[in-house]
Amino acid sequence: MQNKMIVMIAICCLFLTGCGGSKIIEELAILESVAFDLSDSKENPIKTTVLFPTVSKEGKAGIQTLTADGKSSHDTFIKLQNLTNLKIVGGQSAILFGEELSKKGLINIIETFTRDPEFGTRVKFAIVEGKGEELLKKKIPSVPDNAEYLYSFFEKLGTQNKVLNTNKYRFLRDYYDDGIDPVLPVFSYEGDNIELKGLGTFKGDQYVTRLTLIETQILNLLSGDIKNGSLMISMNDEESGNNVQLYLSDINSKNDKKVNTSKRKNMTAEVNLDIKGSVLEYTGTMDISKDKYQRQLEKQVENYIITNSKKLLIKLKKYQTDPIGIGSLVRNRLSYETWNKLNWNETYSNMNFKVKVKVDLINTGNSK
Amino acid sequence: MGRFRTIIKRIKILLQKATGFINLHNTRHLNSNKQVAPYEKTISDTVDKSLKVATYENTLKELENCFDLVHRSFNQDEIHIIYFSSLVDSQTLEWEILSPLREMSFSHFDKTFQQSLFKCEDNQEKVINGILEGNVSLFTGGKTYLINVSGFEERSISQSESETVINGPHDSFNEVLNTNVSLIRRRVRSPRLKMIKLSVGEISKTKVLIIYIEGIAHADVVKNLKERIQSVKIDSITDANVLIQIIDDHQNSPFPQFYTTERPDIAVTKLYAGKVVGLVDDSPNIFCTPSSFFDFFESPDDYNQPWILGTGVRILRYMALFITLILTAFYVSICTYHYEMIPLSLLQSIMQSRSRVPFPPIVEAIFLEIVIELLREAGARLPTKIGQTIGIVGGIVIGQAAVEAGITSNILIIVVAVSAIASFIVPSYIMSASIRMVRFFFILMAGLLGNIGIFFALGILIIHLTGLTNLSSPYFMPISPTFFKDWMDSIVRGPFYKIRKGQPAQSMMQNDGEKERN
Amino acid sequence: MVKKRGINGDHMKERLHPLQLSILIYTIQNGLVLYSLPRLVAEYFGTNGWISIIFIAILVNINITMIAIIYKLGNGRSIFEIIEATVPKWVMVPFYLFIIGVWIGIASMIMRLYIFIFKMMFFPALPVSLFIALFILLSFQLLRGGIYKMTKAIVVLCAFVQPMLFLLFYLIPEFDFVRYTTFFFKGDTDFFKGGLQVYTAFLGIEVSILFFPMVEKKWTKALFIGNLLSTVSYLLITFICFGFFSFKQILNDIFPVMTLFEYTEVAFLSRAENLCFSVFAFKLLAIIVIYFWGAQQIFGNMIKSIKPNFWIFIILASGFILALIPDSLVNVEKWLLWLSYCAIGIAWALPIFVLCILFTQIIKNRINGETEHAK
Repeated sequence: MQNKMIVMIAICCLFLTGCGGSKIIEELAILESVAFDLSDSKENPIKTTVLFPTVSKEGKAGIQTLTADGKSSHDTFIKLQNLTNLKIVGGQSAILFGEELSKKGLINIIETFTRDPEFGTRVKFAIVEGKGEELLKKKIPSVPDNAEYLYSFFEKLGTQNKVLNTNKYRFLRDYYDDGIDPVLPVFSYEGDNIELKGLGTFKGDQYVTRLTLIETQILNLLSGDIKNGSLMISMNDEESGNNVQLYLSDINSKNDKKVNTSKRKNMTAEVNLDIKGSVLEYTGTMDISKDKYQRQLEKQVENYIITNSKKLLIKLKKYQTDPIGIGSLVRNRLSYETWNKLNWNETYSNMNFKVKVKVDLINTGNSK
Repeated sequence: MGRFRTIIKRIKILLQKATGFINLHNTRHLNSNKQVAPYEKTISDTVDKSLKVATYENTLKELENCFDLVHRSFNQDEIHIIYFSSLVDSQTLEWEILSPLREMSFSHFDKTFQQSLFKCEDNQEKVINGILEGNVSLFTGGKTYLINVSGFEERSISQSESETVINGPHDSFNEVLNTNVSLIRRRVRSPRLKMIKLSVGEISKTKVLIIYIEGIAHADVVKNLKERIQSVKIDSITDANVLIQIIDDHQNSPFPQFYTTERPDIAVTKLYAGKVVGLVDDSPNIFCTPSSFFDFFESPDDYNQPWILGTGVRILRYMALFITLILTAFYVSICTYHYEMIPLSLLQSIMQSRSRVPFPPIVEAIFLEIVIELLREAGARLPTKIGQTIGIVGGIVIGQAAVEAGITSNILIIVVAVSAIASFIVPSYIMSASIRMVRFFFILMAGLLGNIGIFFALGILIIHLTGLTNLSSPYFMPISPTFFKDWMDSIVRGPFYKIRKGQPAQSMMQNDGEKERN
Repeated sequence: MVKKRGINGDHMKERLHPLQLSILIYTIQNGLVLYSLPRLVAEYFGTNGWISIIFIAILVNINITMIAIIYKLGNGRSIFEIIEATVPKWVMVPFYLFIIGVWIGIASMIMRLYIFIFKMMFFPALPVSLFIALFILLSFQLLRGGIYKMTKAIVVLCAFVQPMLFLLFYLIPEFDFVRYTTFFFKGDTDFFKGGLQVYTAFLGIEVSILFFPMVEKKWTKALFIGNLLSTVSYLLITFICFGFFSFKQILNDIFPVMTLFEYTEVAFLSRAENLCFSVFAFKLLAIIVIYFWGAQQIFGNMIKSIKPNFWIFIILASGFILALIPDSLVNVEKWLLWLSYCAIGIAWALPIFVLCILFTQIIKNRINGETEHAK
């Protein structure tokens, strides 16, 4: 009798296939990329552009972009639904924010993403220099689908640079944490290709400044341990004064941060780096296969890193952002009440930084 | 008032039936009152017959209108013999009976008839049974003798067609009981190999043998099995599979509970493991008990190879079990409800392949599964000459043509084909047929509720399986009453030095959990 | 009609093995709280709140020790025998009904909460009654077999839920000890209320007081082992949560564990939280079924003449109706909270009550024994 019941239910199920709120895959517009910008109108301040793949009846793939204005992100989604015959759903996406919108503050839009369970935690975020809409709509000859291009770009960045691996989880985590500030990569679409311009640092949820690619590399080194990183160094040869390029690859670096909080007014932070890498390009004249010259080269690299780190840290202090996470280290040294009473902005501006680097060249490549 | 009472009574009976369903089944074996009514006549007839004394005339009258009956008289009608020519071995007949009878004189007969070859029998029913079993009945001077000269054409011992093994013995049982017994007896040369003979079937009187190794097998199992078989009241059984379905604990389950096989090496392995084996005359299949779900996934090939290979193949089989149950259902559930589980790179190809299909994924999937079942069933029934062609036509052409016409998507064809192939990996044909049937249930549940539908279906299946018993011994041993030491031999194939001496706990486990170990 | 052996204890040849029991206990300890446990702990205990789980676990262990003592002192008699030796049955009937009501209520509310979360996350348009009907169907199939078949099935189902924990390994690259901060229990904290809520994560073990007639001799260690397994798995998940998310992020996220599983990305499957939550339905089924079984046992004890299987229908029907009543997440959580408080009360009051009765019985026996000697 029990099996009969199951059979009856199963037969009834066959008739109920439409009732389950089904999302049959070819009726969906699965968003691959969404871009948010500030629009020009006062009542609908947010402009959303979406990009999704379409398949024609013959089986040819294509993409489609739609734009709409609204008061909030879901308001624009509703307006977008009325522009297409497919049902719009979120999914694996790359989300782009226009520059102006980022400067104003992103948290309202991002909180919608946390509330709506359709957007996963792994959606990637990025800032676009200019308008996100233009980037999505730009037609690049060799790229059929901008969003897929962007997504694989993100994946590549994530493997190379830990700092550039940004997604919703990381952004929110660093935003809510009072000891560290979030960062997002910055893309631009001037020129023929979509290219990565640098790293955008945030204060709270507002975009303050952009770090260049070189500064991003240094930031990467300062933030934590690195495996398989790379560093392009441009320095001046001491004797001849010419420009010398040095490219270190397969960098394994160990990072040790220490904070001294004994003096409230002037705290010091010390970062110790231990870098090991192999040389792939050296345009100078020294014969680096010899031990003596290797030591010299290592010293040059160390100087380079120390000078540039100092410059970077001064810049970060000026804009009062802390993507490295010095704040959490300070917090772990103070008691709860002291930390809450502390004016972190002031303390951060008065902080002294010291960077100590030790470079080891593992090998110098195939030739002398 | 009376009508109200009858309604209440009916509801009560309905409730009792719903919840006490198992109890109703158990009564079939032990409570034979229900079966008495249609058989009353034969009982009274046999009662009558059993009191009759055997005479030549009565026997002839009983067996009249039988085309192959032979009756001869010797010595001027003093000795009559009756036999069935289709059941006796003509050489033995000639040698043992006809020549001596032709040559001997009457005075020597008494002495000859003292020999043990000649069994004296008075009861009419037993005489007729004897003739039906291939004996010659000899009527002389008021006494009746039965001489066993049975022998008939049989299929020679050949390779089993449904259970093939790459490396190992290739003989298999055939339909004659004596041959099967000889195949077992010569592999177990121990005086402790015992065989109990029973007879099942009112009209067919099929011989059933219960074989076990004394001291290893549990006495309760033998007793239980014997009682079950003796309580079967049916006209005839044609095959061992029919018998085991009648004595099953749970007759409404799609899963087979007794393990059947055609191979003597498997039978002997089971005997050594402490299980009880049953042979049925006219059937090449034998059944073993107590068996568990994991017995159906073993094959002698695992034991004839090094243990790492054997373990790898076993794990492959369990993976195949999962694949065949879940793969198509998973495809249906992803395409209908859970688009976000597809990685971005696959998304385009799945969307492309589905774009031409006008049906929702579940209809498509059920349609293709039915087509594959049709192909399989047709392939089993077709005469061999046409079989090959239709197989190729069906498999390749229909699949390709369906995709071109836009009725199905090509990813679905791959999914369905893989899951069909995976279902044939199970060594036991009956179990793989059950799994194929259960697969449809999974697909329906996936189409209804997506992923959680699959898990509900899996839950129902597991609850059903762990509740099954085989002759009161749990079906899902050694996982569900957990005996880690037995995992070495049933879940993976452990090295021979690890398999502990003694018998697995399953053969000792009766009454749902009473534990007595060796 | 022939009675099937082992369903209700007439021919007691079948017993529950300690290994089965420990897996059973591990599975029936309330798992739905797990999904919001890090947030609860962060809200009520402040930073580094996961340590509080250890303290609560110690409390639960005290509860279990009481049950073990009852078993030893009572020589394995079922608690109904112990109670009814001293207190007449008609006095206990309202208490029994109360316990039955609370247990059926909790089971239905947990089922409803799970369905709510499921609908919110994945299937907004699905009819609720279909879901409830499926759960009830599975519970019926389980309950019909009796406790022994139930345990066997639950042991296998648990094996499916366990691999979820292994997914946590994918999170280790993002894990950082710095986020733990060195502050302990700072922030707005409310220890008592928080403690009660975390205790509900360990509920389910009080039904084991009804296992006495069906277990082997040395089974009490199975309770401790099962509880230890639960504690370890809760600790592991909250520990990793606190290191993975920053503190305020946990406060903001209603189901942090769900987000945790969403982040794990296996090679060919993204968004595995779907599968994880669906597989969790098995654990939930075990919890619901054990509460229903407990209610059935008490019913069966109150009125011995009706066949035990009849109660299954009543319990399932009332469970179905109860589960349909609340219609929003807030309502369900409110009901569940109150019912859990009642259940905690029962979990402590019942063993204490039985212990008192046992002590009075022992004292009486000793007095009687002495008077016998005196005579």
